[in-house]
Amino acid sequence: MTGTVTEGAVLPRVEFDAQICKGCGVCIEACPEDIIEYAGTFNHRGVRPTQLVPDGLVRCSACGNCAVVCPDSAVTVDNLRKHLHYGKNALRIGDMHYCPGCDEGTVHELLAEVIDELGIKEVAVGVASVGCTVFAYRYIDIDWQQAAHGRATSVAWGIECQHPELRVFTVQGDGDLAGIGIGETFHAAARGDPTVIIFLNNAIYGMTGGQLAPTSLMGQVTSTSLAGRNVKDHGYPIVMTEALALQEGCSFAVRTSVHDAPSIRKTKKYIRQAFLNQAKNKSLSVVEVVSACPSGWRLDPVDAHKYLVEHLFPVYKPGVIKEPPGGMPR
Amino acid sequence: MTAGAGVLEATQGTATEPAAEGEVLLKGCEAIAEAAIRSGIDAYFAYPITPQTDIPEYLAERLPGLGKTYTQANSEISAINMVYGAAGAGRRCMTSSSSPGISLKQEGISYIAGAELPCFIVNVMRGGPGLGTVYGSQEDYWQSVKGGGHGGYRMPVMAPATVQECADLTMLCIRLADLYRTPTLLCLDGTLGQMWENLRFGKFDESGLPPKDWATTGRKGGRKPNLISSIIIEPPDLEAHNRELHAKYARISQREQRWEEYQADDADVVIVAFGLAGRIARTGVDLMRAAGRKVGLMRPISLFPFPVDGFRPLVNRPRKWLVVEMNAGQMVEDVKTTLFDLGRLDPVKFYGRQGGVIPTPEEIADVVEREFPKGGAR
Repeated sequence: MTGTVTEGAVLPRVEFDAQICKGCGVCIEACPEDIIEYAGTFNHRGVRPTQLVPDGLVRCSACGNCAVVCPDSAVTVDNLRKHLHYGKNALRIGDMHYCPGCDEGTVHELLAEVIDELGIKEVAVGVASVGCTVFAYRYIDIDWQQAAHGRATSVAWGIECQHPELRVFTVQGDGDLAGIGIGETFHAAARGDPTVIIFLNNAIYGMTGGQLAPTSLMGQVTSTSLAGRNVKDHGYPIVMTEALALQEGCSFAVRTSVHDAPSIRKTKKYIRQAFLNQAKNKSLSVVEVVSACPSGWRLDPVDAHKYLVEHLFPVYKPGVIKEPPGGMPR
Repeated sequence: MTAGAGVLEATQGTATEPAAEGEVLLKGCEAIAEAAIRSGIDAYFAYPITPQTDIPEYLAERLPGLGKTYTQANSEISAINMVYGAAGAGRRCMTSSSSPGISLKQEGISYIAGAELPCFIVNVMRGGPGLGTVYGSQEDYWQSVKGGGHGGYRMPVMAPATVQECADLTMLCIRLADLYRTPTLLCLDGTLGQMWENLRFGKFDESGLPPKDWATTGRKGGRKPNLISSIIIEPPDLEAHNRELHAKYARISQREQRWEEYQADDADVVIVAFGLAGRIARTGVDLMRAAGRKVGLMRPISLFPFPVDGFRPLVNRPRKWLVVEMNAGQMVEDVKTTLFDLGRLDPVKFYGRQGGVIPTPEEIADVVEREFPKGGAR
């Protein structure tokens, strides 16, 4: 996310890739100067991409928020005064299949940045699970295995027991990790596998079009709980990360989100700490990212982030759940 | 020194038959486990289930001391997915189970077949359906050779009839897995898994095995990323992939057929039976030959590929066929198809025992007499 650039001018350099943009509008929401707008024309995706307003560059503070929040890494900001660069990491490849405003893209960008900055791209192996994350291997330029639904942690153990030098991580949704794969998940914690789990909890089955998930909220309307989740028919939402943190083999557990620029910066720190903990404590690290699914929730991407803060955070509270022995890794 | 190794160092014999030099006395499951070690497996992923638990017990004792991996998973499903991960990371690995546990592994086997990963699976069959019985049966023939999991894949399936073959075919299966980048299955009934016999271990053949440059070992030196996956969304791409898979299955069918023919050349009645049923039928053939009937045996050893080539010399004239299985009639379909494809409309009868009941040689001789009376027109 940050790096040195050549000093050339006082004004920042800001670029919006109109072809990559899906028009989700989260950059408009994130801009403190209110200088981003929708273009008047449509791109090849059939959406109006975002752009700076006329003379916007003069008012731009080069904070980089628009680049940080863009789930598709379509924005580049060079703060030439402070020598800061915000934009797509070299390991982040390909155009993503995710819906406009999906938080998964943001998490991929953070993973690429952390792997790159820690210098572990030659030993990092990702395990992409079934769900929207099934194509994660298309977006980060490292070795990947694609696992069956719910089995990512078992596949991860298969890799790391044979190659202890590899830095294995999984990217799993809530249906995968907390539904069909809950046994595999708990036993990874019980064994103390040195896996980093990135758990994207959006409280819904996204890829199949928005069905009730183990983590769906009470009252949440989905395509299979049309009157809202109720105890009689659906039981209660399952809270995974606290439960995993209770296991001796899980040494690091946090819950976070990527709904705005500050939370994204914090999440990047947590993902980095998870990989550091993996190397240091050789046991399970869990980063739960409470995520928005605008399509599954039937909400506008910006409204989805508001819904996330208002409705998901009370059930899935952000914060550090388990610190590793000796404190947070640095 | 572990008990397993101790057993192997001693030259022992059975109560009736002294062991020759270099022979050891082991039960079927132990012979499989020891042969797997001698084939250089790096990892074994376990879950207990009768009657195959001697395999995990043997390997739990031996593998850690050899610097290899033994992991007891939380389920058969988890175990096969650990195999997926380790095989995808380029290591020689194995899992084993018995019928209900093999059912649980089917999804993983389908993924392994789709992703073209080499691995070795053992099914020590028990009676079913459902929880059934722990006694040996052959009720998983269809599951083993017709895909088992979803998606129309095939894999080499070998069926031993002796403890010696348990060891030999384990080594063969592990070799074929690496040779063709495919899961392979050793399929035996629970009785053979528990049977003690003398055997002599062969040497694993490493020759000509391709390098595993596709494995996810980290992209060291900046090599292109490797991907282990079975998802191919675009229909034309998946069709092309599936055509390649089936071209591979055709190569396997051409090259890897195995069978035992016993006194079938001049036989008027040929019994077709695999595994333990084949072994019992062999004794039945001896009984009938002693009684003056020209009866022979065709024992398929490779169940996939089905040994069509073994039938070719036997279709030179009309014969009568009796298929004997420890199930309600599964392989008999492949026997009928094979004979039809080879241009014969000979009568094919079936005799089966089920639920863990084992037929006797005398019983098989009686069935031959009943179905095909000497000089009769039936």
